[in-house]
Amino acid sequence: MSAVRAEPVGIVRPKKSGSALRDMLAVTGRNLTSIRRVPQLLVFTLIQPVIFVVLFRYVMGGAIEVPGGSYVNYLIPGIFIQTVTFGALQTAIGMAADLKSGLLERFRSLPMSRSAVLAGRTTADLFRNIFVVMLIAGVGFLVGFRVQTSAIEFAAALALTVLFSYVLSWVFATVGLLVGDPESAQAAAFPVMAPFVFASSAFVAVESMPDWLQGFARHQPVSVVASAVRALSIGQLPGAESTSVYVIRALAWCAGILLVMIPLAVSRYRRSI
Amino acid sequence: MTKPAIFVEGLKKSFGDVEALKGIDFEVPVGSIFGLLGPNGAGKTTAVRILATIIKPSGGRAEVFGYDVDRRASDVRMLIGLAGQSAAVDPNLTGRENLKLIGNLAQLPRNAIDARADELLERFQLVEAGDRPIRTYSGGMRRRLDVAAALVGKPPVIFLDEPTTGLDIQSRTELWVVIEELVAEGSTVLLTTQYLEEADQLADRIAVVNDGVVVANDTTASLKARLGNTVIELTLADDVRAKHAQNLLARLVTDRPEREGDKVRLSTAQAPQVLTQVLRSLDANGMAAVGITVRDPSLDDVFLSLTGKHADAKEASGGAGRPAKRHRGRMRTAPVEEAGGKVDEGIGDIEQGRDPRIPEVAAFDERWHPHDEDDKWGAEPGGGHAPDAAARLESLLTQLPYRAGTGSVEAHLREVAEAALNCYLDASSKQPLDARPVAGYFTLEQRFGRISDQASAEGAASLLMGAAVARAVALGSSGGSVNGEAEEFAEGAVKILLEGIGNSS
Repeated sequence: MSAVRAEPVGIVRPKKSGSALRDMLAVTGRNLTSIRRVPQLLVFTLIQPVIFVVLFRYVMGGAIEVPGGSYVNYLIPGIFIQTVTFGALQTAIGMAADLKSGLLERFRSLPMSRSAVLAGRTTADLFRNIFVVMLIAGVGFLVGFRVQTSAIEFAAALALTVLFSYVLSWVFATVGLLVGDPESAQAAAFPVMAPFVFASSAFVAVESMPDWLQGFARHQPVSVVASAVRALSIGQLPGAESTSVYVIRALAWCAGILLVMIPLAVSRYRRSI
Repeated sequence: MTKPAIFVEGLKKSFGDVEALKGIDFEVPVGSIFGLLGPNGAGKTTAVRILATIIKPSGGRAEVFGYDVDRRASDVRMLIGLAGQSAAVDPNLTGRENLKLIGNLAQLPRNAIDARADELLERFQLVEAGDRPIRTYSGGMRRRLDVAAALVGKPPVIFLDEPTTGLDIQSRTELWVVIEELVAEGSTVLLTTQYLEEADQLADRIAVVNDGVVVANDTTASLKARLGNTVIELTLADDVRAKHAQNLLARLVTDRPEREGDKVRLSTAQAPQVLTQVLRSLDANGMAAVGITVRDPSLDDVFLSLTGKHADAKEASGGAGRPAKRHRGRMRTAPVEEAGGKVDEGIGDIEQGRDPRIPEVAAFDERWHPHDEDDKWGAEPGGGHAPDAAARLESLLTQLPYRAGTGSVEAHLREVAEAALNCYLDASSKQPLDARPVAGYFTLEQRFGRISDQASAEGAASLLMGAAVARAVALGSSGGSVNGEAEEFAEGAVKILLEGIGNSS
């Protein structure tokens, strides 16, 4: 009996498995449509960075001293990074919602590539972040931010911001899978993000912080990327490292995090349901 | 021997210390519907998730068309579709977009996807809603789309995980029709459900799962035959009376009646007889039920008879995180008025034919008692025989016209009523019937002695209607023809009855 069963029945022959690219594009399309269908979510995620811009530019900015003199020029590159960091929460929420709703179960029962769900989610969020970063740049120009370097360098700054957002979406996709519930994802992510965003060079100069904090604040990824984006936007500040040093460190962080997080996220996805 | 579409042997799954499946076995032949029946937390969904390659088994094996779900998962995924509580659709996408997404991921040829989406929208009556986001759908529409999504890739094996839980009766029936169509087209369906009725309706074979174990695996017919008794639940005016009734009725049934507050529950295999005795006994002791429920074996009863514990007990320890639900079998409830006058226990002598046969009676007789070989009363089309209750009812009704206007008409009507009730109860064990006839019986029962009034006539009419339905069922009619036939019959019978009442007063 078991010997007979060892061979497939034969009346039904499985079709050929699909390509990872096709699956990834299908999931990306689905996520982008989802974002488009709930525009209010996108609007609310944009309100927060605008509040930060107004808060730091007009309320606290006068009291903050930064190298180079112009606080608005210092601030806006930091706002870019702050925006994509907090925005990555959306990836965690989206992933957790799919997990909770059972959509991931359905995907797992389909003959699709195992990495397509994560790749599709992060790719859709990449597009979302390109849109968001463009808008924040526009807000920046409105409040007086001016590029001090070349257009190419500023384009590189924006590209680095988007790359960092992509890196973060892999981190937070994993968080979403680990938490498994949209509300918990929201609650869990903020305490993790806050130290990275605030104990960084995003809003203030690291030199103004106490000594014990400076080591972390100077070398942690959000700081390093913020400094790199700033250097590409307004040039090297007095007392800071050169632009290329920051950019190389930022790219190293991005590469390092991706190398760790992609396999981690995929393995988590495989086990998470 | 034909190899099964689904083969499961010693399948086990543990989550930490919790053993969700403790080694289950079953096979599902190609082209059949197999029902996994059990309460929340029984392990049904776990079994489906293993078969759908969502989770890995901890032990044993499971195969779909000979492919091991663990080692050949990617082959299995080409052969299956999954819908129900463990699979979902994207609420922000339209119905069509969801189907196309699944079409892509199910690796349909790109140029076939649009046509397949249209086809499924049409089939599930979602064409108009097809371009609206799912979040605007009703529960029934959403569930239909969910099932449609499972079919996009035309999988030969379909898993439906509690596909109708939470749906209203109409949506449920609609889905049942679709599921039956799928199988007619050659698909194999594995269905999980908490509803005995659903498994009964759809499945060729049922495995009852409880606490991670298959406690029964049989055809629906033989499983039902093994199930427990009909439960008669009486509600008394207060706890004291209920207690009294419990003692009083204990002699009528083998198992002592259970009492819960003002309710008394009797379990019996002879519901018609026992019900009649119960009511007489209560009445003879000056008591009356304020409510009565006659209930076929429910899922809870199945578990009670198969496992010796209530299905609900599992939910408390199951930790499924869902609110406990109690799923009853078919309920037939009849409110009962406070008992009226004393019932006349004596049944009058039967006098032989005094004519005046009124035209309606003659016509009725012609229609329902044609004096030829294929007498509708006597012979069942299926080759079996009509139950005794139906035959008795027939004979009593035949005599009724001769009783009209005589002193014995009331006693005779009483016999008619009892025969009709028996007939009704017989038939209702075969298929769910309207509860009105039972109410009709009680109205009639209370009014004996004052049979000429309107209420008793209505009670009798209602009872006869039910008896007529019952008779049609007993004679092998099914579906839509039951009601038509019954109405025709009841109309005639009621006319005779009213004539009888008119003549006697």
